[in-house]
Amino acid sequence: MNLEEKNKTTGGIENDDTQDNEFLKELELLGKEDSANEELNKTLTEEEKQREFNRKKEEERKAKELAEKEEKARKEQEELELKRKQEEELAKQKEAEEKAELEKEKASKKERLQRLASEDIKAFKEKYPDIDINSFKNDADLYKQIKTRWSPEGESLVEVYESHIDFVSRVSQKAKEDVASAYAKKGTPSLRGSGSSSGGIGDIYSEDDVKRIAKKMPTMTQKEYDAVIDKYLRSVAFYSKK
Amino acid sequence: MANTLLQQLPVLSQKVYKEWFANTKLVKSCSTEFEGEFDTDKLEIDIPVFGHISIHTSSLKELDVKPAPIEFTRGSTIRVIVDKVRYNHWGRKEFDKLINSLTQEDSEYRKKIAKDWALYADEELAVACGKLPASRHIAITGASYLNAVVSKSNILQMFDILKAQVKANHQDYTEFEFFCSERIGSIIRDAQIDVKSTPAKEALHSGYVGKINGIEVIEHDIDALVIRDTNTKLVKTEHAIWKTRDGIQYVTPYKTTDTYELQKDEVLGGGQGFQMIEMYDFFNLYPTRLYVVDLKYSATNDACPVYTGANATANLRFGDKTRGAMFGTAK
Repeated sequence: MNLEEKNKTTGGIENDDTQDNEFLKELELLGKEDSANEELNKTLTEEEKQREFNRKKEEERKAKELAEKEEKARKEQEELELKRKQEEELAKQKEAEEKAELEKEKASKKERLQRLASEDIKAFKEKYPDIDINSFKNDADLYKQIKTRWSPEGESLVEVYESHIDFVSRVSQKAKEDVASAYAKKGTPSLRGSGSSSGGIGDIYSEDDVKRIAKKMPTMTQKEYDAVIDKYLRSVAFYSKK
Repeated sequence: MANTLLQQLPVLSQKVYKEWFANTKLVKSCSTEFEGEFDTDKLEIDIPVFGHISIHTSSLKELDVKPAPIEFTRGSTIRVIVDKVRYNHWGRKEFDKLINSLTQEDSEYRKKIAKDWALYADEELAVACGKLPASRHIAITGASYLNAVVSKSNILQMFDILKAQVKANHQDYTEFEFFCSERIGSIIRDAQIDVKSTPAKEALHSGYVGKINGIEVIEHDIDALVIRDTNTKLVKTEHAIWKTRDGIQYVTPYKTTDTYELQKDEVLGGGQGFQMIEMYDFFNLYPTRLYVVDLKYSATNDACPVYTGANATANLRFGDKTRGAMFGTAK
């Protein structure tokens, strides 16, 4: 109730003491009402503030949660990316290793085959020191036989050569020594029926072998010396006449 | 080939080696086994040694008994250093004529060389045996054994003692051979002892006397091992050698002949020089398989040959070899 309304109700009597007191009381009451309203207002503002604050907090929480979610998603993405990259790298590495392994296997197999081949050739040269292996290329038939049949893991060069000589000898009705003489090293005489222990055509050493044996002879044991000396002396005698 | 004469030089050495070795008596009774390539820088080579393989006993009832550890005999080689060199050194003007004459099968010149080398090798080895320390000698005429000079009355007893020495070492005395001078042969003859013979040895071993009391006796002609009487020249004392084949390892891993030009200030008109070289050494890798037996025939106070010191008494054919005649040592 405001002051004008109060005046209307009192009939406009303003100078009376009792009226003053009442008026003061009313004022007091009014003042109390005002302070109550103020307090109410104040309470309402605090609630709003609280609400506002809560809302803000909620928003902040939500924003934070969202940010965290985003961060998590990003991290997961990154991890996935990293993992993928690592897997790719591992796969590449594994592939490279497998490739290297394969190459190594290939190389070792090749090396082994080369070694076996050179051993086979060495065995051939030991058995037939007077045969020139390079001359095989001049004989198309023998060369074909060698190309198709000779394998370090299968038939040896000696076997292929011997079977070829045997075959040609049977077909041409020539002695094996005569057939073999076509592949003899230059300067090696035809020694048909020489009875060489090696089974080859010649019973003399090549010039290189003579030099090699001469070099080795000082350290030969008696047994080694006895094994080579007859053929060696024949060879030296042959080359000294040349 | 430009010059095949050079290829004949190592053959010459091999031929001479084969011939001189066959001409020896003591050296050819030695083991000549060796293994591997001769290392001409370090002068080393391996000699195979054959140790006994242990025989283990167990019981089949003891099923939980583990087998004894395996023995590997493959590694049984001893590396030795070969540091003795023997060589001839001569000159000739016509190289090819010399080589041709030396390489002929029946070359007299080569036979002479082989004979000299055989005598030299036998003497050197004999001196090395004679110089073995006292612990390796059996002073058979001393108080510990016969206590008398060797004669027809105690010759069998002497052989009994030698056999017993070997048996005491758990060895087989039939593997041993007794190398001595002609004096033992005379005593055996005087004692009218029945001498048996091993046909193979008689055929192959020059100087083979026979089997006496189960012992193979071989007569050598190495004067370095004996001391003779001043007047009669009969053997007064000697070092006999009592050994098995592997008692001495005689190794000759390198032998060759080298040639080189002789300068005109050395030989008028120049010429060709030759060196026939052999690297060799000998070893005693089994000490209980080689003994020196000191024999005295006229008085027990006579001295056996002495090879070193101021009063050396050995009758050496090739001069003083006190430096070279020593057993080589394993590495």
